[in-house]
Amino acid sequence: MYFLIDCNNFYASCEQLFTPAYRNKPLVVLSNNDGCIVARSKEAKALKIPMGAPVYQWREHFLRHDVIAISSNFPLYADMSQRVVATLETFALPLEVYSIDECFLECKDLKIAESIRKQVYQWTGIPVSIGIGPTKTLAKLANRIAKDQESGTHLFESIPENFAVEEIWGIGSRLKKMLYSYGITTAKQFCGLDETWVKKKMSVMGLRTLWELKGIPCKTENEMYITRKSIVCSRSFTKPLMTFHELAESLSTFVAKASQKLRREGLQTNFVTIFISTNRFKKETFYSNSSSCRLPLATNYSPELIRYAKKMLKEIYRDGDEYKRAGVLLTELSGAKEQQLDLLAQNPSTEKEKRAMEALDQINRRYGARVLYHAAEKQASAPRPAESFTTSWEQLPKIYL
Amino acid sequence: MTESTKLRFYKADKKSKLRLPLFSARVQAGFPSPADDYVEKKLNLNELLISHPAATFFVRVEGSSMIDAGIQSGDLLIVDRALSPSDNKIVVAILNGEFTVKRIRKEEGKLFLLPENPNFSPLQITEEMDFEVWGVVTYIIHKAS
Repeated sequence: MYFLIDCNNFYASCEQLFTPAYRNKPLVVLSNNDGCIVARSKEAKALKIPMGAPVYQWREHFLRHDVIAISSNFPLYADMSQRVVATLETFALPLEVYSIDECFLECKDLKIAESIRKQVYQWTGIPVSIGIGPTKTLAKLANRIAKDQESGTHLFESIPENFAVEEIWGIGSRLKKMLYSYGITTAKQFCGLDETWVKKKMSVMGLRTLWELKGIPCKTENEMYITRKSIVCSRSFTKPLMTFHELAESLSTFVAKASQKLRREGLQTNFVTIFISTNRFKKETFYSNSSSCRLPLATNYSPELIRYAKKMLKEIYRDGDEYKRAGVLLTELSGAKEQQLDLLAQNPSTEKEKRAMEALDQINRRYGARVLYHAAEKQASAPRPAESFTTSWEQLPKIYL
Repeated sequence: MTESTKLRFYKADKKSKLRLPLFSARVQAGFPSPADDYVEKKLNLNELLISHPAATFFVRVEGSSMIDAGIQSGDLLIVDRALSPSDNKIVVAILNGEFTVKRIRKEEGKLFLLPENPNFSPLQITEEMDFEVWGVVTYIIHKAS
């Protein structure tokens, strides 16, 4: 049997664990730049606050209902996620980490679900829900139901009448549209479809989803462990940027962040793409463009990547435009040890660069994210003091005795 | 249960060092060191102080209500959520929406929070109160001034 263990309101739960005053209150966690809502507590969900909504639209609603809004704290969430996984590992069962707050587990003994919930909550303070089913897709479906149960667990029995088709694992907004256009709106209706039709309209992936819903396991692990193909770092700007200097500064920050991710995963990149765009809601003046280049040598050295990014920005930047979004995409990733040398390129002093980056990463890790940054980077604008509670000696929870 | 064939990659904990000497002495002119047989591993604080890493947290405290238990203002506490809060343990608890550190006593079915300072009074915890044990304090780290 597959168990899908999912943390309840994960980011909000992390925050409530270290600030008891936040418990049982409507709480929302905001994205970088405090632009949109990325997490809601149970009470905030009850106030019908939607996921992903832009903050400015809901500010009044927050004030009226005493909703607490706080900036995100990813070092905390990442650490708590690792703790949940480490706790699950003590059960010595086949375990697969699916996302920051979801894991699949395999077990024949259904009674273990209760022990898992208890132990995860006791050890980490994070409440979880468990869905159990003969396939991963059904475990995920059961998990949706579990979230509304007092017990927090649910063993799959049958697909509920009104279970929406878009709630099925593997069916996103694009497929939802397509299915709705054929009058298929519930999971039950989806199950009744002809297999050839499903394969034609949704490819073999859609067919696998159908089989899984019928109890035939076919979403094997191999697909889950896809080695990283790309790293992206991009943001929308609350206030549009109107000068080359500002845009270059922000872009450099994104490149530095993405390079940090590269180094942390032991990777290098050979292909860099940057993209910029103005406000897509102002259709008449909308401008978006991107530029890519292949690097002569695979690298994860921030200064070099920043240099390329700036050069490309010069090519696509247009004066007079108000930029709302920018980002960088690193592809053609390879292991940091592998190196294809280019006869014609000037070989960089890789050892010195490597040591510089290691020192940079070490300092950032020790003193909290991004203490040291490249001169080209934009300094964070009025951030809330990062209280990473569990990842920095200087930011531990303080208790008054 | 099918055996899973995936590989799990564990990130090395760079913060804790366990230095194992590869060999203890350079053998010069064939004279081995008499201490060779006794070389043991280096001592690691994490191993000593942390039993359940996933459930262990650190907190900084301020204030004097637990001074007689050896907890001084500015000290660092190691808190283990995996341990059960039994009688007489020092715990981190939530009381009325705030964190506190006190010794718990269970007497005749009643629960008390005891400070460790004559200037502070014990508190009985009743059903209606907003109270929850957060974790058990295992070690108090005090810097020698």
